[in-house]
Amino acid sequence: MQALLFDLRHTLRSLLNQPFFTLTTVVMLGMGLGLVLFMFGAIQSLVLQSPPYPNADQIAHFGLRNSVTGERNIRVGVNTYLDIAESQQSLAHIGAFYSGTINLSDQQRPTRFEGSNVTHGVFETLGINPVLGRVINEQDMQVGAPAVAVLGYDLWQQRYGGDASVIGRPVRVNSRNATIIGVMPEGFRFPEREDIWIPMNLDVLDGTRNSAPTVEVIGRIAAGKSSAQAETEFQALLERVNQQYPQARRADTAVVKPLAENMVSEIYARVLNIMLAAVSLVLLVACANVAGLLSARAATKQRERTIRSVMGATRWRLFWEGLLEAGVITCLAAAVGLVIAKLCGNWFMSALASTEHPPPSWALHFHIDAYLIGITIVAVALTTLLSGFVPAWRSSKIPENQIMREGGHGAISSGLGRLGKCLIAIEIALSLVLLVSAGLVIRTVIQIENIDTGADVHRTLTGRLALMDQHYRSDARVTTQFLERLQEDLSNAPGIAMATVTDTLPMTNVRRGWVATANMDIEDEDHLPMSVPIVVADNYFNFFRIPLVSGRVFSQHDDAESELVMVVSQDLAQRLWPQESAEGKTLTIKTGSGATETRTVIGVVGEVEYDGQDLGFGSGNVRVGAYYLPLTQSKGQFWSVAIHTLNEPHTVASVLRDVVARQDSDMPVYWIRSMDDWIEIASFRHQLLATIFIGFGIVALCLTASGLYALLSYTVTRKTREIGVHRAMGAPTWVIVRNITKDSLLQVAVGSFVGLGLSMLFAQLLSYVLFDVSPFDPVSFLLAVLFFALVCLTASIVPAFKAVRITPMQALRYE
Amino acid sequence: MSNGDAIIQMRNIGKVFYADEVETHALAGVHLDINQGEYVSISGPSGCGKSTLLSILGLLDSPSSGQYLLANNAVEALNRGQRSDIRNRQIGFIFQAFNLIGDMTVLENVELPLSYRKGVSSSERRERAVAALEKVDMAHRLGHYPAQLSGGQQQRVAVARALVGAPAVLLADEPTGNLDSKNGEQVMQLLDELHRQGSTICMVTHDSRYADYATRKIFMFDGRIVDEETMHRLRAEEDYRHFDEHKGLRIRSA
Repeated sequence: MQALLFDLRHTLRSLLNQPFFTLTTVVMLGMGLGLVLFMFGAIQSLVLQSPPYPNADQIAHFGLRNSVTGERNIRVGVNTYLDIAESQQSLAHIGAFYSGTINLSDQQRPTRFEGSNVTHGVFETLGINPVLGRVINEQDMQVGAPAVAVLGYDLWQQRYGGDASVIGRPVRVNSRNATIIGVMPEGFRFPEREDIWIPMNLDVLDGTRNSAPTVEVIGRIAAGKSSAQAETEFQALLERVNQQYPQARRADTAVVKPLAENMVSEIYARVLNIMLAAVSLVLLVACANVAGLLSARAATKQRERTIRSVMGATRWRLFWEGLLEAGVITCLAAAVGLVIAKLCGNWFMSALASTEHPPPSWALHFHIDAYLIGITIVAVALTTLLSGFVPAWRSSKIPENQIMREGGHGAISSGLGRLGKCLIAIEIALSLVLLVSAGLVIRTVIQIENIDTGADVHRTLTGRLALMDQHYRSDARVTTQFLERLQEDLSNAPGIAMATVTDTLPMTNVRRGWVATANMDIEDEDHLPMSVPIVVADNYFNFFRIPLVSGRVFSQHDDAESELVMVVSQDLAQRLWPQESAEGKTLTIKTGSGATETRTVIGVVGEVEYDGQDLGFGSGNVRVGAYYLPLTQSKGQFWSVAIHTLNEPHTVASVLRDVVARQDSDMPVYWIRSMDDWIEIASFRHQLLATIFIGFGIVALCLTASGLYALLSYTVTRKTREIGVHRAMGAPTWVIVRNITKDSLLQVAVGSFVGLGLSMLFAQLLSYVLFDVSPFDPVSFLLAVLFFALVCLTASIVPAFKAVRITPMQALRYE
Repeated sequence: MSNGDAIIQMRNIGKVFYADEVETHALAGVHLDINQGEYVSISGPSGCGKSTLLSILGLLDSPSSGQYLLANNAVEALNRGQRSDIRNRQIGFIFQAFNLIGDMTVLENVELPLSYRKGVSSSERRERAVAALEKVDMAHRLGHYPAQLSGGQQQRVAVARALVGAPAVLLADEPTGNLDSKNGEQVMQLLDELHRQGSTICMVTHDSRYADYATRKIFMFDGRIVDEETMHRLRAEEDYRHFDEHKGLRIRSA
């Protein structure tokens, strides 16, 4: 311990005596560590963190995994929920919910809020009590019970000024008269960003088991029970149901996991892991850089270590002293790293919060907590070993008798040599990987921003409507009439050239539905081809200028009484009937209510890009085509209106609101956005990713450039005498420059070669987030290499110039 | 051949260096005994093997052949760790270039050998370092750094560092080589004083004035220990041969 303190004191003083070296290494390593800690902190907040509910680890989430496709579904049918609730022995409480948007209207303007439909057990399962009033109970769930609503704290504060008398106040929720019964505590926004909760309508169980609405199910594990037991019970239940309802047999297996694992989308978890892999490369570059600097420093301190060895220091002690220096630098860097991590974390969380579908609000906080401190300690230990082991080991290998041979003068032999060159080559290789990755993600952003949607989206404003009132839901014709009237009124409104209605706009879709040709088995849902279902008004194709490839599009004659028809996109037609005409063929599909219906294809249209927020993230890359159904032959509650404006789209937002309000004063218009906004939203997550990768690339590039600069400067210093001799013998400038830079050029070449290979491997991992860009995109690779070469060249110029300026007299006097 | 008073006993020590298939015999058939409390100087021309001998004496290097007993223990075949331990406990070094560590204060430099010794508390380390510095009259410069001291003062600190571990023998390699005559004289008087107090000293020097401080003088030539007369004769012969070679004559030695 005393020896440790003795060495520590000396190490600290030694580092203080060389502030430039210390600052450089601490900042370099701090950047690498900071980015790694930032990623670990982000993963902790977004993926690993328990939700803020009492004993959250006891709350289980019930899902399914398709044993054929391996896909996981976090939702189960309502019937399954009721079966679980009835049969589970391992749960103390159980509840179900599904998220969406909820219309709230009172004396103020009707507003659409994010909200959830929940069963009475949800709040008990979560263990959260209201701050005011009560939560939804079993009576509220009964068919015909008066409608009620529970408000979130923020909504209560903002809309009702925190007035306690709000309890019992009548409001209209989804066009129904309802009563406010409770207010939840501040920060409670289960499951994600909800402001309002209403009882789930369980009066929807008239369909078949396969067509039942789906919900998420959570349960609190009873004392003495485990989630494994719950999963076993659930699996047994599924098998029972499969035997009881052979027609509804599904190849699903039970998955019961902690709630925390289902709160953040798998996309985030996967992207964060890719980013963690990338940021680990940055740390490796920083470690290699610092290892190079420590080696160079060890070379200059070789005499001191020799003295220590002569005084009786063993090799282990010398090794330990070298490692201690790396450890002190790493500890200082960790402090810098934590600051960088916090800054990056705050920025990242606020950026995520502004995305279209952010993670739950409780996950959007970046904390430096015990977990991150623990990670920091592990990172410090690993980084110390990575950056300090080799220099310390090499510098501990001292020929003690050297002290006798060299006397007070003479050259100190190089401690850098091959090691330094290898480290630079490693840095170059890893930095190139990051640069190529940044290039690929940037290319993806460019691809998305310049995407050919296949539709004319110029000067187009859109808005979303939720037709929740019972009269819309009970009669599809009422909905159709409302939408057709709305479309007509909008088309005649000032500043608007044309309007159309659809349930899904281009670049906004997240849905898929199966389709079956006449010779496919619709019972075998798991193997049926998937496509994107779109319900449209008859002027939709004209509105978006979607080209007709063959046949015809919908007309006024395609109404509720006529033959069920559909239009398919070119891709889907090709996939289902290659080499054949699609017209006249029939397709069976599943409707929104879960029933199946068979329609005749009347036409084929051009391809339109519908995938939005998930574009470029895994499944979003798979093109499945689309099929279109006429508005007049479809049901639905959620609709989008699109209007071509004569001027800047947002200038007619109030016109849109007013026209809708004239038709239905209870109906809010939400998500009022231009199509350009939707495209921007689709690319936002990639923009964020690109920004982060650019940051990683720049840090790695700076580290490598500085490492190369340091190595060349060291080479110039070490070769000063040699340069002087060359100069004295009349060597021209180019010979001096060649002598200094030939090694570094070789390292750049070797590092680049290895880096390109590694980039190809890393690009495979990255392909999950790429859109319309090959992982081997030659443009990204070429630009990265050229940019990299330019930076390396710049880093080499200053030392080379310094070498050229050395005069023979200076060099020969040099000690 | 064992001598009860001898702290150092070397028998037929040889050292061969190999470089690029060239074999260089730095030491050959060296026999040397140094008794407890003896003050020995080693002199000889450049390249005669003085430093190599001192390296082997100080366990900085191992002999290629022969036997070396330090305090009656065979040390010629020890591994690096064992040599480090013995060096730390039994040998004190004084170098021509002082070899103090610039980032350490005078006190820390002197404490350094004790910091590598197990079981020495920090208070004991400090006490012994201060005592050693008092011996060389440098106790008033405890917190100074080497760069703040004159050459003579630095060498006195180096002497204190060599003394602090109470070694069996002090090895001094040209201790006055980097000093002016006044400071050189002071360091020699310091070594003389240490000898009178009982220290065993083995010093390599070029300077015959300083060699005269020793109680026994050893001369080396071509890796062997020779008597003074032989050394002068061999040197004269070599000078003559060198002179004739430059005149283009070839002299064959008999």
